Amino acid sequence: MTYNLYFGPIHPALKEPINFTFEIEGERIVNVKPNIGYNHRGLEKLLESKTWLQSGFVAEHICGICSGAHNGCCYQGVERIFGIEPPRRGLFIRTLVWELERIHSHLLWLGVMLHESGFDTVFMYCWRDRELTMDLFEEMSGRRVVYSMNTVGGVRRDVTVSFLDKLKKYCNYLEERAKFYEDLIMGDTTILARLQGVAPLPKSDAASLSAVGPVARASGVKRDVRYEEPYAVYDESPFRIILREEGDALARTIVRIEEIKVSIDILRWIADNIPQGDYKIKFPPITKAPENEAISRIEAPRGELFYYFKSDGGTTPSRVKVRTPTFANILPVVKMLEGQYIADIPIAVASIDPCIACCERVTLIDRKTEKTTIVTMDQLRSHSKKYYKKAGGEKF
Amino acid sequence: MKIWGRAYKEAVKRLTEKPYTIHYPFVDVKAFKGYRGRISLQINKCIGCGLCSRVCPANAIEMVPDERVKPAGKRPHFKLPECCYCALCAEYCPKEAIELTTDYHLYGFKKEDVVAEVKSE
Repeated sequence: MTYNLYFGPIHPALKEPINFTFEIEGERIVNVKPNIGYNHRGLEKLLESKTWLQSGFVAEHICGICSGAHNGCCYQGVERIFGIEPPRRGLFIRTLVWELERIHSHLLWLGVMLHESGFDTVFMYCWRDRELTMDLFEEMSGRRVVYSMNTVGGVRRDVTVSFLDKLKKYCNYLEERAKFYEDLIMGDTTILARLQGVAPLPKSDAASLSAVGPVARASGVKRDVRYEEPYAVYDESPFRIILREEGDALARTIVRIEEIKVSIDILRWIADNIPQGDYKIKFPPITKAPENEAISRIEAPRGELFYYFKSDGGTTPSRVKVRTPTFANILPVVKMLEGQYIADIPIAVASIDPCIACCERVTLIDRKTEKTTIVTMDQLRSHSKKYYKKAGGEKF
Repeated sequence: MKIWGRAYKEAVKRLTEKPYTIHYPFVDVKAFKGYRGRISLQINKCIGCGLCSRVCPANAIEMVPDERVKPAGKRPHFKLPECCYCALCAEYCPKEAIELTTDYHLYGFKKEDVVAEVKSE
């Protein structure tokens, strides 16, 4: 006999407003139903009322942790609409922001993950090191969280030589710390017992459920926008893709720590190779765009971030679509939790680095009747399959 | 055992250090140069063109009548509780009358208590 266990949207084990209904048999989970929609803020609609220049500043409020990724991805899309190519120094600084942000997001996540597994001391250590990243952001952009660093055609502020020296020192310190965390986690029997084999996601499931980011890479799926479609200056940078085959919570932890090291390498490369010259081009605040549409993809700390822009030739976009990594990673969580223990729920949910506030954006509005309907995942999937078959795309 | 030693080493190292946290209200903490904090407006530089209110992504700037501003006779009023501190107004101001200061103490019991600085010099 199975029972229903309702989890969230407000629950001490979850940091974000999401609701799960677990069908349980004893301590084992048989079935999971996720339910999102507690934090819908209508930001896509809001973006349609903002000019091209303003859109990035609204977009960066979609997520508080990967605000730089949203800001940059949004402006990358706007630049494609206008056909603008930012100067090279601007692209370097943009990449610097993205990689610093990846470090801060992964350190934050590592702390939360260890906190969920009851290792609060290292949670404090991680967040203490993260604070150094925040200081760098404050010095570079003027704000700790919402950096507003990018603009159409480059970045808004230049970096100084003294800042780059500071960045190199920070890289040396953090490399040591990343190694320390890795040794600590891999050598601690309690942590290993808590994470190893928990919430497994086989490679086939990760691929078919379109998991993104470190979740996919921990299951051995080669999915990284920096690798598939290098943007900004990633094609020249010493980027390497990190893959693990195990697909459990420990693998996700290791992938993220390794990615911190990759980010450090890229930051060092940027500090050594940043070219001189302009970092932005002038862009008028209110201007008409050509009739066009564009997509923009970048690898946010949590996975692939996707923006779609459509322009009707006006001063504002006529349609904006955002797909955040957490939205793609909700279904893999369902798969991960099947057959697991109730006690593993926080670990499994935390292991995808959820940012629920980002992912709340699927409601359909019928234009004629003005009726609002919520689309189920099955309907969306069957629709997408049909669509891709029609377009002659990849078969699922 | 090596790993046990590693964790202890870290703990002992941290014991001898100063606490990382700062006793904030009693110790003055300065923000970095270039911090985007409370907005300040130099009223004698402002020409009342209203460009700041048009570029503001948060619709936090309203043009209010002010006799000191010539020739337009109006100046921007910053609704700081709605402001997102993006500094677009300062970037696009043609007379460089708007500046974001390093003052981050933005608090008040009422919304009206949080106001921008208006300097006459």
